[in-house]
Amino acid sequence: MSKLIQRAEIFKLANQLGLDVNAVSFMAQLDAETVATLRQGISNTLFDRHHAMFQRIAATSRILPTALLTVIAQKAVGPFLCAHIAGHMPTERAIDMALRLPVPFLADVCIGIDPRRVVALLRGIPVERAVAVSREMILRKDYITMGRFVGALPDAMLKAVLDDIRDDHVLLQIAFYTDDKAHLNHIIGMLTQERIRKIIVAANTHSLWPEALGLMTFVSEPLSRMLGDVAINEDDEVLGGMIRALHEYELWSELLPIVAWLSKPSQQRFINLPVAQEPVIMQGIIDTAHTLKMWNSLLPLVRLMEPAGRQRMSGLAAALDESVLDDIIAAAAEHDLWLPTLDLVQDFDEAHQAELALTLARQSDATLASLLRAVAAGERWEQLIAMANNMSAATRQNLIERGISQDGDIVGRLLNAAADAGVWDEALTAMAGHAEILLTLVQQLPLNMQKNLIEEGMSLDPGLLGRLVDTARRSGAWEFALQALAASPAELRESFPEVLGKLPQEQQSKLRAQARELGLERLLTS
Amino acid sequence: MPQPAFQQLAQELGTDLPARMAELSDAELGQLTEAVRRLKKQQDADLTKALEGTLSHVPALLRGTVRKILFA
Repeated sequence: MSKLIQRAEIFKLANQLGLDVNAVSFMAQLDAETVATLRQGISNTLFDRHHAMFQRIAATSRILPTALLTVIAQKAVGPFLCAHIAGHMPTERAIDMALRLPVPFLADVCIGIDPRRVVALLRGIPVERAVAVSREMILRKDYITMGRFVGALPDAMLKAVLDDIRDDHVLLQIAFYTDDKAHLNHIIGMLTQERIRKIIVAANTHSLWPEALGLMTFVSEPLSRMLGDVAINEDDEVLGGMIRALHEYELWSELLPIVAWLSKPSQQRFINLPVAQEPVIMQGIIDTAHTLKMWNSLLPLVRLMEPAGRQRMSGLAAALDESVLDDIIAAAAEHDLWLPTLDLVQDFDEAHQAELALTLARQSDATLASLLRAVAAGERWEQLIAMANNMSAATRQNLIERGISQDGDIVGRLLNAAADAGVWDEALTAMAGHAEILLTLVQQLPLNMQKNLIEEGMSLDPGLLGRLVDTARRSGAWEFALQALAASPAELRESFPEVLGKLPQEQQSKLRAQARELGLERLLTS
Repeated sequence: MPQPAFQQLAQELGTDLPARMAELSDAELGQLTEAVRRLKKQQDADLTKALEGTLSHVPALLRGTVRKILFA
């Protein structure tokens, strides 16, 4: 938000100083609040330094006829000084003068006026007069001055002025320069949905996307969502114009939070637009999310992306510096965004999968626990197992301990899911070395779950037992495999010899040799 | 210690500047100071013209009273 407000403030400062905006472009290195404070300071100086003299000049209005005052105002005082004196005059007399002075002169006076100092005067001016001055300002394209008045005008006057404005792009620019951003909610409320749609289209036609985005940024969240949804329903060409303009002005940091609160269909349309898929645009989005730590705004969109786009984004994210994974994981844990995070990292190449495993190893217990909860909720066991295979033994152990400590069912479901997904080998490899934990777990499980584990994993599919043995052979996890068998309920253990009898002779021999070493040969005999 | 250009602008405005204004270079602060001086000069010139001009437009009968109001 600050970048757009800052842009508006710099324009207003240039206008106040009577300079081209390029002459004060160096103010862009400061925040919007600093620019606004300087602007207010300049205004206060001009209003206060001759305060006593302004009062004296204003006091003459008590004894001179209005007709003469209007002549003096134009020929002697001038609009710049009139702006500083107006607030000191008796309101009725000032209103009377406003009705007699030429409209172009009044438009000149408005440039120097601080609307907050003349609220009573503004309330007393007939609506038709205000509309006439508004038209003059529009002819001059003095939208900055008009924007400064928005918050000070009474509702009826504001509505009449807004209704009189035919060009939608004018409305957009006035809104952009409005000092009283809170008042914009009120203004938007006065406009019809069709008018709002036309304003969005005008943003594209008149290359005013920063102003349109400013409007979306300044208003309340529900109105911003409404404006965003209206914008996102425009055709690809309009949206293409918007995205290219925002990229050019480096305004992704302002857009991402707005996209984050759009409706799901709007988000889906936005993130899958062909223009959003262009490498340079996607790089801009990713860089912004990374640099400004806005992954919490971007990650929800990952779930809505078509696979090809998601893969591109994954590749770009992986190519960022090494801190990116820490940032993504922090956002995932803090905002419960693990599922889109898993979507994003599933397309990582091997090197980045390994890096991901290292990054996970650095995470707190609470973060790992939140990952496991998300995996359980989203049934993403297969991906977790693949990730675990890249982890060090210590990290895997920690992960399993976290699973057991918060919900023993999680590891049970992992094994079941592994069997279902046909990644039993990978699961066992991931679990190898943690026999003690697994045994504790299995023994703590209710009997029916133990049965499920064994029956679904082995008895009902003797081939799985063969793979268990294969895995044990490849990974040196004989001890784990046998102890897992030993931990099963007695009634199930009794069926093992029969199952084992179906294995190739060579595997049976190796298994028996290992069982003898571990003192578990009784498991294999009926 | 703020740089002289920072203090000059503060002095011209007769108020404290936001602290972050010190991040501007001397040249940039100088440009702002110069712009503020121009505005003040214009205001001074307008004021002089207004005081002289007002009296010249006021009917002779009221001139004394108006002069008293303006220069009391």
